[in-house]
Amino acid sequence: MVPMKAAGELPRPWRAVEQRAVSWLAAHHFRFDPHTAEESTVLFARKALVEMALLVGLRARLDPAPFDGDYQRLFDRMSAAAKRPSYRELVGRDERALLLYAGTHAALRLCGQESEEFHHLIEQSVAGRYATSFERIPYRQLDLLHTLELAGVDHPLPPVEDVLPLTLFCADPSVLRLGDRDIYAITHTVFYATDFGLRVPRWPAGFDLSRAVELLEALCLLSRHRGNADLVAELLCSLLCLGVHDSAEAERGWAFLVEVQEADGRVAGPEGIVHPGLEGSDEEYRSWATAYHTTIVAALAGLLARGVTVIRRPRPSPATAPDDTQRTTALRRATLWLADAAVTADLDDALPAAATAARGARALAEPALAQAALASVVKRVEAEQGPSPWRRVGADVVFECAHGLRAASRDCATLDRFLEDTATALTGLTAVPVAAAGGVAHLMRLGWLTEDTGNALIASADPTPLMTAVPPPAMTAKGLVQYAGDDPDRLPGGEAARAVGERLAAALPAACQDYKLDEVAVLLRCLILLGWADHRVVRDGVEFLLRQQTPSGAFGWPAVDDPDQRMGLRQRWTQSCVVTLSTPAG
Amino acid sequence: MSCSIDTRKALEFLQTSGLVHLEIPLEQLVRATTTLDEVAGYVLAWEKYVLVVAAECDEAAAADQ
Repeated sequence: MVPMKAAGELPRPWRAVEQRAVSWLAAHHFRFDPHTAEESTVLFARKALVEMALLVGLRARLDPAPFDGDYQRLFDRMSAAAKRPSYRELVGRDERALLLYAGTHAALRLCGQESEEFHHLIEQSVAGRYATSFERIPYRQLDLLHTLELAGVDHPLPPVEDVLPLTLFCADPSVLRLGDRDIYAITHTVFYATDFGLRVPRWPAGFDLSRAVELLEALCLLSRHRGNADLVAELLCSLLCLGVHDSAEAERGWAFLVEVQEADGRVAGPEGIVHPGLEGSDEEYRSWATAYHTTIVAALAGLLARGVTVIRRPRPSPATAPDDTQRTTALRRATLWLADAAVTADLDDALPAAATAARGARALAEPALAQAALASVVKRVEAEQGPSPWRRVGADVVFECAHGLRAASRDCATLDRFLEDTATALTGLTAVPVAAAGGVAHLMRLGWLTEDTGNALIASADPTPLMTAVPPPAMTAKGLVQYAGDDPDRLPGGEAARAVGERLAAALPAACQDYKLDEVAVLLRCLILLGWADHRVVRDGVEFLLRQQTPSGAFGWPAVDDPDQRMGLRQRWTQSCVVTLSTPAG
Repeated sequence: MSCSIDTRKALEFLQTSGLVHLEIPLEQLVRATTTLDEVAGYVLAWEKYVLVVAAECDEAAAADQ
């Protein structure tokens, strides 16, 4: 990744994005005037006006140069609208919507065009003991404080520092649980608290800027993959407001914006961005209504990126490595639960339970944890008549049992015979399917295949189609972990690996939302092998899994009452989680 | 127990998994609890405004009927 160029160097993507965006906005300046809007869209035009006004006000504030023609047209439009009594006197009539009007006054003030009458109207509204007092969610309270600050209106409200501890942003939330509304709450908190990049607020005690930055970057990645240019632009603005100008993820966000911006500068918002009732049948209006906000935010991002007075600081890195105690404690408890389950379950359920317990025990360097479970299943397998159970339980189960028995210096004649026969059957082959490569590696590690034979067979398997194809992400993850076994070095690196990692990471929120724990586990396992263990999305994903652990050590909340169904689901989920929690980082 | 294995069966076996399951047993049950308030869009970020517009749209739709 090429680092972002410092101010003064060209070419800068944000400059072109801003210029094109403002050009498109200026070409549609009449849409921002409530006076000319149709009756059904007047409120929408008022909202658009105040947002456009903020862009123009910030342009005046961040760039001392005179407006170019496009900014001037937007300024003229908002100035004309604000002069009309039919607009500004609504401050005194529609107190719940104070921000809808006060923001326009604040923007005019930033442009050096303060109106005494408008100011008086807002002061009267504030003094009326309702407009600023009705209960607002925290980031809207910050919006109120910031607007009044920019408008130069005194008030008796608690300061920003008193509100920040109540915000979602300062709670350092899990990136995987946030919906669009939450992300807007986060970006707007950053905008208002930092005065759009011009101040460092007094953050609450315990606030960690490095975690805040990685949260914004992770959300940017997820928003890019959802094709949501509106949120990408908001998140780019937020990073810039925190002073971060050297983010690799921000560069990818800019590349995304450049790609989606249309030739005339329009940047379309995501599907469903406006209320269907507003779209109407006028195609031109719909084109504006579904894009004006995203285009404004894209322009704002460009403005902040080039603003010489916007705070700049090196991207903060986490001060310490994440604490691994929770993961190992959870892994140990789950391993013990599976080891117990393996002793009491019937053989077909006991084998995967014992295998996973053996894997967990190996990762914890406590092979004794799985000994009783392995002894139990070996005894029953040896007593089984007919076809070998090892054939039907899955290669990963067989190999984990083999490694566990090897670690405990125990033998299982039927297992040894099965593995020997399997290895023998491969003799003479020159190529294996990609999904068999992990198994070949296990046979080699267990000594059933020579290194020469095993390595030649593994080398014959090409994982490229797995990286480039677009099946459901969990299927991609499954294919890659089967190919890699537990050897992260076998997975390709570079741009292809990053792209597939992003695709898998982007699938995690939906998998968590739908409570597909097996899917979450395999996505995380593959991401860990791909070298993403320290990425915020993966860390939050692992934490999500840890939050699903029950007091017994099992994983998952089945939300069903049937005891057999509960046990079956919990065993399966616990196995999936233990496999992931015991995966070595790439 | 017999364990003789031919090449095809060996390769089939190596591609199987007993620990990675991707079929979804409880999807519909969980989904029933998670769809509240899940409407995308910046319009909803302005909660006051949206409430007003949504109400107006609903009223207009009712008036048209």
